[in-house]
Amino acid sequence: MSGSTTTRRQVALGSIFLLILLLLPLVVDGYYQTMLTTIFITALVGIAWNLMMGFAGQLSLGHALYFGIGAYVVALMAERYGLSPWLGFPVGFLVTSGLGLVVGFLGFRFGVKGVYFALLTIAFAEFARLLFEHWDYVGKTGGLFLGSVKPDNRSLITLRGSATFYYYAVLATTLFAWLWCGYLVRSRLGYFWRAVRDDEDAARALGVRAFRVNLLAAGISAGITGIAGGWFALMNGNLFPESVLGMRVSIDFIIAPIVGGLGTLCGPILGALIVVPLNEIAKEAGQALGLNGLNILLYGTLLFIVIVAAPDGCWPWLANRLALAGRSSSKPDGP
Amino acid sequence: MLQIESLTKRFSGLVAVNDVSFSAAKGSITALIGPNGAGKTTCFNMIAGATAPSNGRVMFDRHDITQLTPEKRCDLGLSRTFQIMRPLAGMSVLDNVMVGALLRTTSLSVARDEAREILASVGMTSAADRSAASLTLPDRKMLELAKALATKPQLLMLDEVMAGLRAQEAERIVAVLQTLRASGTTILLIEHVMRIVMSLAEKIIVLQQGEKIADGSPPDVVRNPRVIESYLGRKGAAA
Ligand SMILES: Nc1ncnc2c1ncn2[C@@H]1O[C@H](COP(=O)(O)OP(=O)(O)OP(=O)(O)O)[C@@H](O)[C@H]1O
Ligand SMILES: [Mg+2]
Repeated sequence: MSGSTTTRRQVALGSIFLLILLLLPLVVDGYYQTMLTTIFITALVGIAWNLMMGFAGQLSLGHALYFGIGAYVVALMAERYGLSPWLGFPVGFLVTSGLGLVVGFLGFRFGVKGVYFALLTIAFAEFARLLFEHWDYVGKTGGLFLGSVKPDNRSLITLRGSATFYYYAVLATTLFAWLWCGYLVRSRLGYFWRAVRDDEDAARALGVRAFRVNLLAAGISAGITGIAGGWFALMNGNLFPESVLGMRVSIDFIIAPIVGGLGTLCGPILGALIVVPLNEIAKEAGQALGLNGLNILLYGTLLFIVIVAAPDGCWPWLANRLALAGRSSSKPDGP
Repeated sequence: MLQIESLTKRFSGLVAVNDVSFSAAKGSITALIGPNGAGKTTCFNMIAGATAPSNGRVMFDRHDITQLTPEKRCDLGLSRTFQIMRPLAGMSVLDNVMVGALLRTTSLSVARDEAREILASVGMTSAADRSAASLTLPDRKMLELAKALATKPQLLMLDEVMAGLRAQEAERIVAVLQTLRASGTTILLIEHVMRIVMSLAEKIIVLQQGEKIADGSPPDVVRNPRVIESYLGRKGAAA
């Protein structure tokens, strides 16, 4: 199949998918809209995390740090100072990408790699959680609550509103982040990311400034994750250190991109579509059966199945089925 | 072009390179030869910045580059291949070469065109879209060379790129190197095949157990008794 036909198919199927998502709130109620929004948030963080792991080759197990801080920044600015999230989001992005740069700087500057880098990211996230659990200003373990939405609320100003509002807002954010990341991984920077991912020393021998390139991945990934956290805060209305900064959060967010396919742009989206509903079902089944942690067991099983059956993830497999894959020999870098 | 002064590398207990100095003139081909474990690759690593020397200096274009990172050295025009080949295994052959070309241009299409040209010059056009992980040994060697060429080096350092190649493939590389030399590129190569070394190099440096034992024109070096005894003689006996 020629390249342009493949591209046309990709655009066509992508548009249909987007159209369905745009029309879906007309036929599903608030409960499902909220669940779909959770899928979008999971996909958004997955896209960001995958930028670091799948494209630049850095394993972060502490993305809760950026998610949680992004959430708290947006929530605190809105609640304590009455500032619009229109301001909160940019500040949240700057703060979290700054944190990503700091963690990255410490890791890359001192040659902390692989598993040790992952431990470093966990340490930072856990430190932040402990700090927030003992910090009066952010409400300690008691959490932070956003006041209820006022009757004269104007969603486009407060960025708060109904389930339908969040649905479209987070969908737009995710779409934007997806397009941005798609642009980045195809750019010169994207080539350098994949080069350092595959072999950092060989990349440096080709003149790739590995340190800077790695830092950029960490900063951008962290910033996007912070934005996702901000939407979570607005939508949820309450934040607890454990629920946004906890270790569980970091782990939950990496399941989707792994299941969907590392180093692919659509993998995190497909992964979120699989993982979030499954998690929801397992939670309900667990409650009904009195089996706590059934969802974790399910995650484990799902990961196991994927690793055995489709080690590259579900997306490359599905893309092949839909005849969406580009050059079959190269890695699934397609959308 | 390149001048190394008293380079020394000690690995816990072992002196891999001991007080080695030599230079390579602009537009010339210099060969670094010696038995296995003589310290040739270690020398390369110090020149390219992959390994920090225990002692000594590396001068490139009259600048001391001893403290510079490998990527900075590459930016200055010093490019190397790895003896143990290091393809970027998750990328296509073309993308591998493009990474090198993107050092000198920000345009993907310019880099893509240059990469295709370089692949053509080493006879790898048909492999351009294949995964770098799927290549055979000779193709991997060619890819190493192509990647290094893509960075447009002034000094090209080749670590046994012709080892394990068939005569015809080696000839292709020899032709590429001759063209490069004609265009003013300086080449430093590690090579075991004496026939190629003798036909290409203006200057030969012989290492043995980390020490330089000879340095001169090919005819002088092959007549040097120490070289015959320690390297050529043994090879002759083995053949
Ligand atoms: N990283 C290292 N740590 C410890 N010893 C090393 C290291 N790298 C090389 N050596 C040792 O240094 C010596 C020189 O090795 P080097 O690879 O430079 O030899 P070479 O001349 O390239 O040999 P060959 O012809 O086999 O490629 C060898 O004894 C080798 O075992
Ligand atoms: Mg060697």
